[in-house]
Amino acid sequence: MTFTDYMGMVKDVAFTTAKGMGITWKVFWKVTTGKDITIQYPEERDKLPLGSRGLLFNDVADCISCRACASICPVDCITIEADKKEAGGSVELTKGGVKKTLDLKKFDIDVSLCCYCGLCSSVCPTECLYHTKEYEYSVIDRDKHVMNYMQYER
Amino acid sequence: MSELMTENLKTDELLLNMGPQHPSTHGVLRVVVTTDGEIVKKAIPEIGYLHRCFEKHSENSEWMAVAPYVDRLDYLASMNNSMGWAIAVEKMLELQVPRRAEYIRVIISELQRIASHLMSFGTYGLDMGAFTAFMYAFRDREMILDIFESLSGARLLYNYMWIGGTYRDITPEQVQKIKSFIDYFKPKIDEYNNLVTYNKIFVERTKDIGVVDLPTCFSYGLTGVMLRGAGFKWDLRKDAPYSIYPEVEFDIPLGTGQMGTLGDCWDRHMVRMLEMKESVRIIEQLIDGIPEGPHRGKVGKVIKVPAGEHYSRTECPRGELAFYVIADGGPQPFRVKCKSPCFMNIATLDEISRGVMVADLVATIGSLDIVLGEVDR
Repeated sequence: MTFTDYMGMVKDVAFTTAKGMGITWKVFWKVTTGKDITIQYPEERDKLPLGSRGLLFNDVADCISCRACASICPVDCITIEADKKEAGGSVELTKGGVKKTLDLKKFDIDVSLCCYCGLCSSVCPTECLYHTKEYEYSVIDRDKHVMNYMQYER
Repeated sequence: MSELMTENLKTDELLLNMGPQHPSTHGVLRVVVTTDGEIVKKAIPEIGYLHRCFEKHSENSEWMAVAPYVDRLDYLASMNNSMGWAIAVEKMLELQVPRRAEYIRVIISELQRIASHLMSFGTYGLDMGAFTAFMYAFRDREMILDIFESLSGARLLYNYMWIGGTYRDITPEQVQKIKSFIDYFKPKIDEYNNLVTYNKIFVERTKDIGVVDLPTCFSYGLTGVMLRGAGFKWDLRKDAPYSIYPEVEFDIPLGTGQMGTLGDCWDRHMVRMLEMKESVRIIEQLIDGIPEGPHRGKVGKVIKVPAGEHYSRTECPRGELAFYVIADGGPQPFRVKCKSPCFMNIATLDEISRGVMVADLVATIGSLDIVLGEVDR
């Protein structure tokens, strides 16, 4: 490389970098004079969109124990135990008027396994299993991430 | 004097481990580099740190439940991946997808292509020491992710392209959002080119480095940007069209060897920048004419695919993603084989990086644009 070539390269570097810096300064000006972008998280929260997929919730009063959610779940995080109803017992109906033939004993979701894909809520025939917008549920003990919806308090 | 010194000096090759926690290996890739001074003699990629048994898992999942796993292959382009899976199963079911769903799919997957190339552009800038590019790329990618969040409810792993159509319908507000993003993004590509691509320091770092010539491409089975960067016109959206790609007009950008050798790192970077422009063009053509109708075809709640086998391939941002699916008539696939483009891309690393400096190895890995989730599956 001759000296003139070298100086030509230096000129190119200076020219193209200056061009880039021009863009950077334009953005810098826009950002400093525009409105704030950062959200100060615990004090203010971003509004979640309509169908956002947060913590799952099951309304056990409406659940007919059909196991459609447990069978489609890709990570098998839903555990359902249900017995046959005793003969001669009272007939329970869901809100939508579906007859409950099984007695739900256990409906657990291990949310530490859940991948929030939304398949279980989409196959639910009575629409009792759905995603809430809750996303702050960290716990100290991992076992506490198993949500027991039979006795659910939150 | 100096001759005497070098004669008595003992020189040896040094084995250098790069990764798996190295920031410029883009994930958990380990490269075992044999160096002679500053020169790379051998660079063997060690993979498998992110292996999750995708193929075995999908044999035990229902047809619909494979989609969340497919999302996790190439986690920077989830939409394109799950579109590939959906197309494979639809072909086996002989299912006609509604026109509205096809339009939504193509628009969304082109948006995802922009997001993926932005990520590639940003991290490549980071590898080359240009931190600004990273911030700018993530600012724009964030807007695409916001659109996807309002569409599907998730930000990274969407599970949006379902078998038979899409998860949810697109609303006029979301269409408006995409339109305003396109208007905002169109002039940005030239800005980024001026900021990074044509910068002399960047050009000097990337030209004549990591040259992939056509024989290498064919012997390793390279696809996507690697092949197009080497100057070969091959794009499945044109050459083996699927969905509504035959109805839209777009060009296939090719590497030209403008700054150095044909098929070097700069060429691949430039092809990605130009592909973003083409994606914008495709979205512009489709966004105004989304037809009315259902967003999902008639599919039962439990999908049962008739026995048979099918090989389906789609053009993802990183190359051809193909699924070879065998069904036995049950509710679960019998066998799923996934051919991932990144695996082929990383396989060439040894061949194309022999004889370069160690610092240029980083430039080469960055231009391969690998996602380890897809390499290891």
